[in-house]
Formats: sequence, C-alpha cells, structure tokens
Amino acid sequence: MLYADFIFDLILSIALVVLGMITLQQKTPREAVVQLMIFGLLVALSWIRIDAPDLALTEAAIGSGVTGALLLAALRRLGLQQTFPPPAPAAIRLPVTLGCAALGLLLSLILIQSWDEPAGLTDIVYAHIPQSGSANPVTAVILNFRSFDTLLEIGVLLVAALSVYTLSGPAAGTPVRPPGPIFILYLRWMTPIFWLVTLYMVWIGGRAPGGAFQAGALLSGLGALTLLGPSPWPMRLRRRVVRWGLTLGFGMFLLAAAWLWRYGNLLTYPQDHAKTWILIIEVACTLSIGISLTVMFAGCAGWLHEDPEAVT
Amino acid sequence: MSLPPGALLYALAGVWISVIGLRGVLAEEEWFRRIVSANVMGSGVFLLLVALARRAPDGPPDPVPHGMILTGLVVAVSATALMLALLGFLHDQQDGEDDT
Repeated sequence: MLYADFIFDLILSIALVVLGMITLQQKTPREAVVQLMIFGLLVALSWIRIDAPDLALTEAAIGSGVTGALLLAALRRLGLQQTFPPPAPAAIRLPVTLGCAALGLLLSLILIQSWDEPAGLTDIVYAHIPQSGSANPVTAVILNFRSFDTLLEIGVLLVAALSVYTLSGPAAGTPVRPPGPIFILYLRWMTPIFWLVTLYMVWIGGRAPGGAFQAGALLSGLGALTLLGPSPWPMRLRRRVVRWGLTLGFGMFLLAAAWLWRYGNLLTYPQDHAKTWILIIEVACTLSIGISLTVMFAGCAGWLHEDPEAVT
Repeated sequence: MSLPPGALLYALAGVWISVIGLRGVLAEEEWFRRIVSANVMGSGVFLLLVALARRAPDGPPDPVPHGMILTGLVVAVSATALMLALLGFLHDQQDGEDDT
C-alpha cells in the first residue's frame, strides 16, 4: 500500500515536470494554452494527494479554467494564430538555461536537507481558532490572523481589474458565433445552480473548506458563461453594476477596517462578533472577485466597450 | 532505507517546474510565450508551497501557506489578465502605426 502511494506520487511528480516542459515547447500559441490547461488540472490532482482538496478545486477553476479562458480570449483578440517566431539565438538561451539549472539544483539540495526540520505555524493557528470566529483554519488565517494581507490582495485585484477595464480598447473583438439552443438551455439551468453553490461555499467557509476565494472563482465561471450567452444584459448593465461590483469587496473591507479602528487596532474584530464581520467581508469579496475576473475575461476578449458610446 | 515522503517529491517537482518557467520567461522572445511561461512558473511556486505545508507527516497541514496560495491564485490570474490587456494595447498601437 505504501509502495503504491509512493509509485503514484513519483509518476505524477515526474509527469508534472515533463508536462511543464512540453507546455513551453509547443509550436503554436493555441497548443501552448491547451497544454497549460491540462498541466493546471494535473497540478490540481497532485494537491489532492497532499491534503489540499479545496485548493485543488480553486486551482482547477482559476489556474486552469479562468486562466485558460483568458489566454484563449486574448489569442482570439490578438489574432495570434500563426506559429511562434523562431527562438532566441543559442548565445542567449544557453547561459540562461545553465543558470536556471544551477538554481534548480541548489534549491533541490536545500529542500532535501532541510525537509525534516520542524517549522510552520500549524500549532499557533490551531491554538487561536476558538477566538477567530471561524472554525475553518484557512478562513481564520485569511480573514482574521492575516486579514491585512488579504485587504491588500483585494486591493491588487481591484487595481488589476481597473487597469484591464481602462486598457481594453473599443470593440476590437469580433462578435462570437450566436450560441446554440443547447448552450442556452445549459446556461438557463446552470445559472441558479452556480449561485446556489457560490452562496453555499461562502457559508460553509466558516467551518469547512470553502470561502470567498473559492466562491468568487465559481462566480467568475458563471460570469464568463453569461458573457458567451444570448442575453446582452451584462454589456448593458456593465457601467453601474461593474463599477460598484469591482469596488464592493475592497470598499467593505476598508469600511470594516475604519470602523474597527475606533476600538483599537485596524481589523482586529471584537471576539463576540468576529463571525459576523468575517461573513460580511466574505460576501462582499466573493461578489467582487467574481465580477473582477469576469471583467478581466471580457477585457481580454475585447468585449468590454462594445458600443462606442460606452467609452468615456 | 525508508521511502521519501510524497510531499517531498511534489516539492522537488515544484522547484523544477518553477525553474523551467523562469527559463521560459528569461529566454523566450515572444510575449505570449513569456506569459504562458510566467504561469508555469507560478504553478511551480504554488506546488512547492502546498508541499511545504505538508512537511509534518501527520496531523493537519499548515493553514498559513494554504491561505497564501488561495489569495495568490486569484492575484496570479489577475496579473495574467493585466499582462494580456497590456499586450492587447501594444498590439492595437502597432496596428495603428502600420495603417499610417
């Protein structure tokens, strides 16, 4: 049994490295993107093996799904269908390859030597979970112990989404082929299910794997599907909904920080109400993450400013 | 001799994947390929971090790296989107120059 586990892990880790190399050897951009998506799914598989199933879900949704959709949408907009230009001369590639190989060897040696040294914050985190307002250790870390980091990360997301919103020019993308009846039916059935699962993910994040980031990733999947669908409402509604939606997460987080400042420190929740604070911030962040990633997808596809009037 | 733990294998794979991605970012000349390389590099770093969270052979994994990865995944995809938007902007500018 132990041997079977070991052999599986060995094969999968070698396959990951090989797939990573293959991804960067592809001749056309489209092949490279498809290969990257397969690679992302296998990475997600390996994370299940090392006890991170919720991260695996997020990686499959974001690292493979959303990233792949972004890259494919951008390919379409850029019209990059031809093969890649010939690579750089060997005089440049060889020293870089040797340097990178040396770095890899050094890191591997350090890793093997220091593997058994006890480290990490597991005990400290688990000791403080009862005070954190969340029974799920990852949520406790993200939204309580390290909430300042998360605030800034939501800020990074807002800046990136606004930059994409600003940079994407008017109507560069040609409209997609109208969706077929099966897709329309699928979208109609899936929309409420996506919302249900999203809300469930936010709620369950308080005590089991789940939370704002996983739920936001799911919501962005629905966003991308809706953009491909028949209804023009995401385009029409975009200016108000999108602007409010983009700022909601960061705004709520900042408001919470400012409000809690009165009691002492930034983002130190009063212990009795920690769960409520975390839930409010999580719902706002979920909506913002979903809308931000949808805006990025629309921006990369060149669909953001479809009618010229909207470009102001 | 005892078998090395599975997490160590994945950590080593993570190191080499990020090194391969880094080489792609530095040595490739085509922008789209560089963006794909940056994504491979990011996946390698995340894989290394997930494996490091599993260093203790038993008990729950370390939740701090897990939190970092969860937020990091979202930040990484927004960085990719920003790179692609900049690339699209560059593309449009060059098209405009070709027309005149």
